[in-house]
Amino acid sequence: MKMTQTKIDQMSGILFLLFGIIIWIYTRNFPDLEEGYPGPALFPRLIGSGFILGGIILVITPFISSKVTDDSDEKSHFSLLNLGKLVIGLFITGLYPFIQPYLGFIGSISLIGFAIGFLLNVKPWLAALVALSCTLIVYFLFTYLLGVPL
Amino acid sequence: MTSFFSWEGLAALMLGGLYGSLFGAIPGLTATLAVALFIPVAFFLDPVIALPAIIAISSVAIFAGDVGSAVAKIPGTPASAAYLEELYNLSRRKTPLYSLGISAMGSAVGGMIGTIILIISALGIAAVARNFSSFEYFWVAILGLSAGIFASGGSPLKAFISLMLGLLLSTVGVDPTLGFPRFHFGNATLLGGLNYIVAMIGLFGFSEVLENIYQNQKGSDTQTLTTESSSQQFYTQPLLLILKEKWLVLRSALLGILVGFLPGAGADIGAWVATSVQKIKQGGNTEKLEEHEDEVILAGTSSNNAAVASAWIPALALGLPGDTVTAIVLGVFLMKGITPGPLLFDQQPELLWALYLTFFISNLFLLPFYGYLTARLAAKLINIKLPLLLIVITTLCIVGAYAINNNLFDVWIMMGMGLLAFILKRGGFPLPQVVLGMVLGPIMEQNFMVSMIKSRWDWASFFERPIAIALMLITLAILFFGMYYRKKMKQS
Amino acid sequence: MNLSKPRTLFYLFAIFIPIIFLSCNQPGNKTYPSRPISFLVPWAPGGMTDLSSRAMAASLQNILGTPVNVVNRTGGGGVVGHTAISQAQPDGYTLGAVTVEITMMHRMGVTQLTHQDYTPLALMINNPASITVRADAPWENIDELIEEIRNHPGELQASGTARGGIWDLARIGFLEAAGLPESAMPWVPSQGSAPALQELIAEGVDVVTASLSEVDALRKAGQVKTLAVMAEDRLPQFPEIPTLKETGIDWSIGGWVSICAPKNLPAPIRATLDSAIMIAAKDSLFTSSMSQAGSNIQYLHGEKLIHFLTKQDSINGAMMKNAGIGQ
Repeated sequence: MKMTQTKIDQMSGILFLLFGIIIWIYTRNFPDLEEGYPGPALFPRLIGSGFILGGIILVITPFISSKVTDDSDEKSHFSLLNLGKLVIGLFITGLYPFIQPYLGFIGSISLIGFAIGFLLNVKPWLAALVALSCTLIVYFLFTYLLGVPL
Repeated sequence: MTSFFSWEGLAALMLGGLYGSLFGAIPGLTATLAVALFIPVAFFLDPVIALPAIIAISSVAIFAGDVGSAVAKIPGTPASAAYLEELYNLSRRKTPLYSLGISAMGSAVGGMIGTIILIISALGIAAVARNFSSFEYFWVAILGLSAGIFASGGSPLKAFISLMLGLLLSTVGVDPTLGFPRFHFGNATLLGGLNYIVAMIGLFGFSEVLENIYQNQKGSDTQTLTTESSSQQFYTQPLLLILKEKWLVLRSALLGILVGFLPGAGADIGAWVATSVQKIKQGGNTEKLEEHEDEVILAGTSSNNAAVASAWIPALALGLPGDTVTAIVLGVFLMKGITPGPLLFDQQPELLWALYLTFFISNLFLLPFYGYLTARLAAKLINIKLPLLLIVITTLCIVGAYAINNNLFDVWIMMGMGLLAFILKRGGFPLPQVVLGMVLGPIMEQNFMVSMIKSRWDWASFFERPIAIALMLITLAILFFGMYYRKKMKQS
Repeated sequence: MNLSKPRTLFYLFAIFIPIIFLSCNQPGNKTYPSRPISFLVPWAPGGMTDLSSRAMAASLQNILGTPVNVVNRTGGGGVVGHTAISQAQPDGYTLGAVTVEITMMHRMGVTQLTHQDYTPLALMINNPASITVRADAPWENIDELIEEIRNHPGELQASGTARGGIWDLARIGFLEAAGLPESAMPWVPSQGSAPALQELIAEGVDVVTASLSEVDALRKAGQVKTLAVMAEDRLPQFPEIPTLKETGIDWSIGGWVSICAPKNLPAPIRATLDSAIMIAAKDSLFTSSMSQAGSNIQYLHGEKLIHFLTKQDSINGAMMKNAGIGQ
């Protein structure tokens, strides 16, 4: 998949435009202040309008400016495998709130550190070592030196 | 009363500095938390001892926020986020000793300037601070926003969109006028709003982890920096730079004091304004950007610490706590039977002098001393192979996100921010502006709505007070010169 | 990524399994308390709830002989912290500060929690609302202020906390008791008492109804004066400030902080904590720091406390209903 900076800009412009419209739709049921003045909805709507405006400018800039922006910068290294790894990485980190109540701080954090190291192609023993020592240092630092319970 | 110049007093200063440098450098731990944990100790201490310790904690912690930026790209305060890229790049390109040297020395010099102004004009500053109402706050927030647009080297439009995103994130939770819950999707944690420190950890720290997982690095092919590190790089070179750029430092420090003495986010906004003024002066000149990284850091860091001293003025002279740190200090004061207010200056001169002296000592000795130690440590850490460092960063991200509110849900918010940052980077949208938006959002909305309710929707009331008009003019000047220099740079 | 490698699995098991077993919380049969106690505070550091909780925790720590760690669990206008206290294990190792907002949150539709979801242990402090104006304001007493409000309804504005918060209720109740409509002195929402006081001295609003302990610093600094306190009797630390009742307006309200444990706390643990808190509430460390800070200690426990909570819940509920706040 090959993408130039201009195309990315235009695409994100469209996304932000849609996002702004969604905010407007979402805030339509927010209550007003007494005497009909705008209340909780005012600020999100202003921001939404900002998105819509910014999005439109992003989309149309390439059409109106004659100057060719640096299209040489191609961002092409997209791969499904890497994206999969990214999702796994997110998944592993996201497990923390689930496993922490059962495994405690030391167990869950060092497991996640180890798994992330594994994803980053660190040798297993090294990943385990680093994850474990880092966890222990953090634990002792927080609990005994700084007095922050974990 | 125990004398300030006693072993206990000095020990309290040294320990406070150490405590502060640890809390500042570790993501998720803040100066506020450090001071809050110090309260039970402060109960038993003489105020002349307890107060210096708290000042040492908070001033060193604000500098130490840069250590996280240099090593793990996780800024400790929203102020550090203003020059995050520069600090991180310079640390990698040269050595953390030099970059953190600039940060520490710049903080020290800025802090000294701030303290001198504090001593000369404490009551004058108090008089101005007394007149800050919601209109002035609103304009300060707008000033911060306009600074944010030009504080990134890239497109102002993208910076604007990033700011908008930050503002939007700040509207999550209970609305300031009616208490109406917004964008919480039935979740109790979201009801409380998003914490900007959790967001910073995710946006900068965790996104770096995701980035590297995505790039699929091989375990071995990372560069190991072989940098010589000497104390010269920490002390001499930054000081020479400060001498060379004395006007830059003075300007930034004064900006920091001007914007920073207002309670709350003053120090953060001050750093953003100073950084952005420096960047506007450099123009959108991307080719020479590397050479000027140190100047940008200097601008941000000197204004940041200059603001710290003046943030104490409203608390001491008026009894109005500006931020959480001064709120805690005020509480401790009252429990000790010390009354803040103009009388404090007459009745408790020894306490006031202890305060001034502590600011001097913190800036003259503690910052250089602990700065050097942390920079040495940072130089060691930065040499760790990247994948291994990333394991450490992952751990710190989770711990930091959890520790700030002791809430497990914040870990998911942190991850969400990491993913958001990953996507924003793909589109070339700057990240620090998102944080700035999150910090400014509540200030802006709250004070706008309060102003409107107060004046019964009379728009002219925003342009009636002198300080408000001055702030508006500074904002317009930044917008004008920002645009003007950008145009000029593009043409040449 | 190759988890199939036997060596990898070996490392995984050899290193992590023992740790996991070690780090699991093992319930011991030792007498209570045998490990540190967490004291959850639903509000930010530096506020009155936080400071009183920290003073209480410091005293409790000496009495119980085990660390009592104060943990701020903020967010959601107190919902997050209050929920965390109620959902903790009722083993005596998690206590918390439950504040007056517990009577209001469930009517705002943000949570289902009420005071019945806790084991109430003791009431710590109860700070009555005040009527505070700028030091240079033209009104010398509460009657003059009421006269001004009556003659120019809607001109003076009051602040102190968010809309529908405890100090807003104080304002509504005060106006009602004085025979004035709610709109006679409209509310300007703020993020707490400190920003409201900043507005007050910057001449943004005219009246602040926050508690005496919150306005105390500014009062001592000579920036503001307090015309009346919304209490039954004059406060011991502020004998010079008259109550509303004295001027013929029967209305009192306060922001209070209680110590609660999760529901179904076993009786023996409850007894231990009860006696410890009773000693701590009279401990000079707690009493002197509270009175210096202008906070009003009101110690209640047992049946009296439950009665107090129930009554507070119905009074504040009625106030909110009258003012059209919440559901």
